[in-house]
Amino acid sequence: MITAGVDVGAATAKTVIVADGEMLSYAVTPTGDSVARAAEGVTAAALELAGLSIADLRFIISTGYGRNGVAFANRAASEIICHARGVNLLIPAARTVIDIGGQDSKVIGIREDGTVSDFVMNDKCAAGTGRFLEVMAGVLGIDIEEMGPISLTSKEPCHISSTCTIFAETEMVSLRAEGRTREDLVAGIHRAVASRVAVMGRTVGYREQVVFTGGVAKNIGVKNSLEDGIGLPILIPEEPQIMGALGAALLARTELNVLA
Amino acid sequence: MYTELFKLCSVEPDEIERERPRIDKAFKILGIGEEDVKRGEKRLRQYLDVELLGVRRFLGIWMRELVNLVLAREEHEKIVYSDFPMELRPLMSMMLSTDEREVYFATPGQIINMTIGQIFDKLTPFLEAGEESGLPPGAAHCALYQTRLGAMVNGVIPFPDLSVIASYHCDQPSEAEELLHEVYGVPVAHLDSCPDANWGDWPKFNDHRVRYCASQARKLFETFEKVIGCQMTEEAIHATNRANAIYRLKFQQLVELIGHADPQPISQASLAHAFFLNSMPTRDIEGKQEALEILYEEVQQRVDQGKGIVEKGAPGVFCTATISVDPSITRMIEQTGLAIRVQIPFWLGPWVLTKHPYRDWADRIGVGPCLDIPHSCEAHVAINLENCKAFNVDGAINFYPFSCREWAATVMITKKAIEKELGIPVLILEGDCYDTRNYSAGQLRTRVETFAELLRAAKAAKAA
Repeated sequence: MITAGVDVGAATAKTVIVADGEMLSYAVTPTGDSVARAAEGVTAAALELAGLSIADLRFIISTGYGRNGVAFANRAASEIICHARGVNLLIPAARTVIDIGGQDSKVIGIREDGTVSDFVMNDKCAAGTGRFLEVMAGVLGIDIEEMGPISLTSKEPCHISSTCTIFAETEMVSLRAEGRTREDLVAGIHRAVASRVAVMGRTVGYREQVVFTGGVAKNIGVKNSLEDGIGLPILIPEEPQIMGALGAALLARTELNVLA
Repeated sequence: MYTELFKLCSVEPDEIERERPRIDKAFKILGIGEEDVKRGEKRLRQYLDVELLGVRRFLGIWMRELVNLVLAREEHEKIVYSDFPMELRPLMSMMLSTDEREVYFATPGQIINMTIGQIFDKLTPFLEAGEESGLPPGAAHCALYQTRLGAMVNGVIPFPDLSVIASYHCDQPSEAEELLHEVYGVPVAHLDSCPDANWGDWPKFNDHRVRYCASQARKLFETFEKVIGCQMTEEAIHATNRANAIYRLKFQQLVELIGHADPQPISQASLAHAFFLNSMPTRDIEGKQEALEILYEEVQQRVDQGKGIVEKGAPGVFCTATISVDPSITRMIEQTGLAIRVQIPFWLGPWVLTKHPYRDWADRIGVGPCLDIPHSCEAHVAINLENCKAFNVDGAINFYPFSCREWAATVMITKKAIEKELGIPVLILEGDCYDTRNYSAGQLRTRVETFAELLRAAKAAKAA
C-alpha cells in the first residue's frame, strides 16, 4: 500500500512516499511562485527516486500553507496534525514538537499515539520564524546556512528584540555601527528567535522528549538557544524539513485503511 | 447593474425602480461599480443563508440604511450618529422623540461594516482615510471608528450635527469623538460610566457606578435636546422599551433555537445581521421585527426537518467576538465541521433577563441597566463560562481582537477559566472585528482545522 504526503510550505515543498509504514523516498524543492507547480514538481522528483509513477499512489494527503492548492491530493490536512504524526514515527518518545518554518512557528504537544494534545502557533507576525532569520542574514550580507556555525564562536551574544522583525532589523544596524562582531550579532539573532518561540510554547508546556523540526531546525545556533530557553535537551530528526510530509503520508495510509 | 443584488436583499422590483435615482446617487458617491456588485452577490451566496427570506429581509434593511446614510444630508435637516458600544435604547428614545423627515439617526460605522465590509469587501479605503485623518495605524485604534471617520473625511457620508457615544466599554469612542469635536467641530454627547469594578463584585452593580451612569444619561439627553432642538418624550421612551423588549426576546429565542439544534441550522454569519440591528437605530422597527419573526419560523422549519449547514453530531463550540466584518472566517469555522452553538454577546444570561434593582430605573429612562458586558473583566469571564455551560459545548474559540480594548483584556483569563472549570479546550485566534488587514486567514484556517480534528477525536473517544 503506497501513499504520499505533500507539504507545500512558505519556502519549500516536500513530498514523502511511504509503503506500508516505511519511507521509500522523499524530495525537497523551493516552493517558488506557484503552489501547484511546486507540488507537482516535488512529487515527481520523489516518485522518480522511488522508481514509481503517480498511478502507484493509492492515497495522497496534502498539507502546509499551500495544502488546498494541490489538485492531485485526495484530501488536505493541517500541518500541525501531520508534524505530530511524522515525528511520532521516527521518535516515538517525542512529547513536544517545536516546528519553525519559513512563515510560521508552532509548539505541539503530542501523545504516545502521535495525536495532538495541544498546540500553539504564531500569528501573522514574522518574529520567531525563518523569515526573521532571512531578513537578518540579508542585513548582515551572509548566507542563511552559514548562520548556525558562525554563532558557535560568539563570546557575548547581543540582545536583540524578539518581538518585531522590523525593530530587530533597526537594532542590528545600530549594534553593527557600535562595532559588535558578526558572531555576537548572529548569536543574538538566534536568541531572539528562540526566546520568542520558547515563550509562545509555554501555554502548551515543554515535556521531554522535545523534537525540533522545520527548515530552521537545521540551524545549530537556534537549536542551542532553544535548549537554553526551555531548559531541556532537544532532538533533531535527520531530515527535519520532511516531518509534515511524512506525517501526511502516514495519515493517508490510515485513511486508506479506514476506507477499506 | 444592482437589481439582482437588491433582489437578494429582498427588495421588491417596484421598490428598486422607485428608489433607483437614490441608489444610483448613493452608489456613485460610495464608488460602488459593476465589479463590486458582482463581488457582493457572490459573497452573499457564498457566505450567508440567502435562501432564507428572513436573512434577505435583514440584508434589505442594511442596504436601505446604507443609501439613507449616504444621502442623509440632502434629505434631512439634522443628523445624529452613534456607534457601538452605545446601547440602542437611549438612541431609539431620542430618535422616536423626533420627526422622521427632520432628523436622521444612524450608527454609520456599523452600517458600513455590514454592507461595504461584509457584502462588498471594500472597507480598506475607509480605514486608510481614517488612518490619515487622526486615527493613525499602529496605535491600536478601533477600526470601527477609523471607518466612520474615513467615510466622513472622504465625503462619502456627511458629518453629523451631533455624535452620541458611550465610553463605558473602552476609551476609543471618546478618543475618536474628541477628535471629531476638536478638528471637525462636531458636537459630541457622552454616555459615560466606569467599568472599574472590584474582582468579586460580579454580579452586583456598584451603586455609585449606576448613579454616575444615570447622571451621565441625563446630561446626554439634555445635550441632545439642546443641539437637536427637540424634547425627549415619555411616549418615545415607552415605545422604545416595548420594541426593544419584543425584538430582544425573540432574538434570544432564535439564538437558543439555533444553539440547541443538531445539526446547526443556519450560519452564525447570517445571524450576525439580525444581531447588529440590536444596536442600530433604524426607523424600520416593524420591518426588523417582521424579518426576525420570519427567520425564526424558517429556522424552526429547518430544525424540524433536520436540515443543517454542518454535519449532525459535529463538535459544538462557543465563539467570542468573531470577525464581524468578514463572514468568511465564521463560515470557515463552520466548514471545518464545527457547529458554532453560540457567539458572545448574542445570548443574554439569566442575570440580564432577571429583574434587578436597576431595571426599573433603566426602563424609566430608556437606558440599559449598564447591561452585563460593561460590568467588569470578571463579568466577561463569568459570561463566557455561562455561555459554554448553557450550550454544553465541546470547546471554545476565543478571539483576540487586536484593536479592541474591551475584548482583548480577558482572552487569556477566559481560556484558563474555561479549561480549568469545564475541562474543555480553548483555541485563541488573533483577529480584528472590523479590519481584515489585521490577520491572516490562512493561518487562522490551519489552527481551526487542527482544533476541529482535536475536538472530533475527543468527542469520538468520549462516545467510545
